[in-house]
Amino acid sequence: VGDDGDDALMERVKTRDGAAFECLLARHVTPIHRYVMRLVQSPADADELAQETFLRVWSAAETYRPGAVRFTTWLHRIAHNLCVDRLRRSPPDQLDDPDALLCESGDPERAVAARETAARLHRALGALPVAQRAALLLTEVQGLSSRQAAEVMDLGVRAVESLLARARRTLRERLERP
Amino acid sequence: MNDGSTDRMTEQEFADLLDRHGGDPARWPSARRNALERLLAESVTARRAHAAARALDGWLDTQREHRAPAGLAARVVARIGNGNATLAVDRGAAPDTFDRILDWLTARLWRPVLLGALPAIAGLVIGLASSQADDGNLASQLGSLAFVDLYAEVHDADQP
Repeated sequence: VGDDGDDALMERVKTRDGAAFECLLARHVTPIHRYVMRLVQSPADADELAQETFLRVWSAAETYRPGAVRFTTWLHRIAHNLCVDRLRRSPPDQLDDPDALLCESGDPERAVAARETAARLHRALGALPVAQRAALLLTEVQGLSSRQAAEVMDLGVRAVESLLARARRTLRERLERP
Repeated sequence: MNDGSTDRMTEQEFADLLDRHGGDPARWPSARRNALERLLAESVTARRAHAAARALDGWLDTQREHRAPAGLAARVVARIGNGNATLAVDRGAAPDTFDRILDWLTARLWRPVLLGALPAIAGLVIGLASSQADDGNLASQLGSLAFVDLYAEVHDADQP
């Protein structure tokens, strides 16, 4: 199962193959959790939204059309829509503790520096409008192309590039401030 | 498209492209890469903007480090196993033809129809059963009559 491509696994998930689903889950759970965590900026919400994303992969597997869109794009679209719905219904009053977003590092000095960097970036990212934050995360953190990010966000490529330009400009200005 | 040897770029265009594509030259549009690199070699302002873009890339790289919470995948699998959310099928088995027919018959539209038809079906079954019972009685009566005739013949023959 482990060597199968995502499309082959999804064909098996459509026949209710639990092993294929678990393989997809193991492959994508970390990137999806990372995306929802960075987008909604709340560890508690991220856990629930990541779960919901994969439950929808299982329940809506029949709607996935290989060739029409890449699996990672389809998966990110599900996660993205769930996050946008959540943020629309209950915008965060304040950002969660940025330390919770950090991966623990073995080196104490590196950990302190990383924590400081993460805290600044976390605040700067959190202050961006959701669409700008999403465009930046999809391309810079998740590794999607501008075209894929556009498909995830249901926008044109130029619109995504425009969001990216504004997001980078704002972030750079905020991070360059002492 | 401009030839790379004649293509020129302003510092403002350079800053805009950096905002759109980041500081990694590999991600710059190939049609403008020569102009970008030439300006980078010539302009201090462009080099400063490029350094700032690279710094931002570095900051964003730190966001890639991540580990999903322990047990997250197991919680997803458990929810599927419990039939939570919109999941209705057990893991690892495709629904067979009988299940599909049953699903279709018990779909929302058919439930009231089936419920309404139950008394009629029950009546039909009872009617058929009693009809078979009556048929049995008739055969028994005919048999008895035949036996009575035979008995009468034997009885009459025995009479002196």
